[in-house]
Amino acid sequence: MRKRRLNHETDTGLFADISFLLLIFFMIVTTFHKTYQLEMVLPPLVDNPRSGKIAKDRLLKIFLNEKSQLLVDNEVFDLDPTLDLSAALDRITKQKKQGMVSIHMMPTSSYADYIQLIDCLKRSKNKLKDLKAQAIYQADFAALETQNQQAINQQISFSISEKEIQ
Amino acid sequence: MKLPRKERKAISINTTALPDIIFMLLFFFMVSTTIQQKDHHLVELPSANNSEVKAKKEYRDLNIYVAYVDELVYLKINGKSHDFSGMEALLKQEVQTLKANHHAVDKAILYISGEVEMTYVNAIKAELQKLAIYQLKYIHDGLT
Repeated sequence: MRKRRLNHETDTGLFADISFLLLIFFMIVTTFHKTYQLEMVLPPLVDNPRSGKIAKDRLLKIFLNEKSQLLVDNEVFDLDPTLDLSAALDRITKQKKQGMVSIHMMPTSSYADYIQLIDCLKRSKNKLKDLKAQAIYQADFAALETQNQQAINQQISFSISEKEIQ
Repeated sequence: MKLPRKERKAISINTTALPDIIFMLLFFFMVSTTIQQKDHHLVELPSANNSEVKAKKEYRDLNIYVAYVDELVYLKINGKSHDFSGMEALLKQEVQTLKANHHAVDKAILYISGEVEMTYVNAIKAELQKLAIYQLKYIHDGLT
């Protein structure tokens, strides 16, 4: 009697189901690597830069060392995402003329610390805008009309100067 | 004697699950898609002063990557890499190449590794100032 051949076919019907389920699972749970950006504008080079003193009440000096520490108004702070410099910014922007934040950094200060400091300044500026908006218009800065936002922006205006300590 | 001809079996792939998969994908994208809505802005174009048509300059960015490789600082500008000692020459060369191809450069996008010391970053900024590139974009991974 002739031996009957067995059917060796593998059932691949579920294969697509499983692979697509996996695909959908990863499509949903995947989060893309996020990057953030900070924009800055450099001043143009001038042949004979103007030198002059800035009044103390318009100047905020910040020293950044290589150990992620800041010296602001003779006080040492650790650089962390909760650091708030809005009070210091309020002090230098209360005057009629524009305020100045002078950052002095060590050549060995890290780029990550520098970015954190710039971010801290921007965050503190936004907090100050909200405080002023609440005090004047009893509303958040984002909820104000463009005209009122511009008025507050003019009040909180400062430039950043950077220097490397030799 | 004539042997009976063996009947050929049709090879077929089981496609029963295929519509299920297609519909699952369809529902997923139907639920998760948000249709982009475009706002329309009326733009008033200025009238031309003369008949000469100026060559339009296309803006190009300088993409600058800086990182440590084996305790040495390397940089890559628009795909060309060098150690940090060649930074000035590489920057100048890239800007000149772009300008020769009728491109204008007004922005530098900096992708710098967090541990890079500020002295290198300040050197790049000083060189960009010399080349009249004033707009900077610092790209970073977020704050720790």
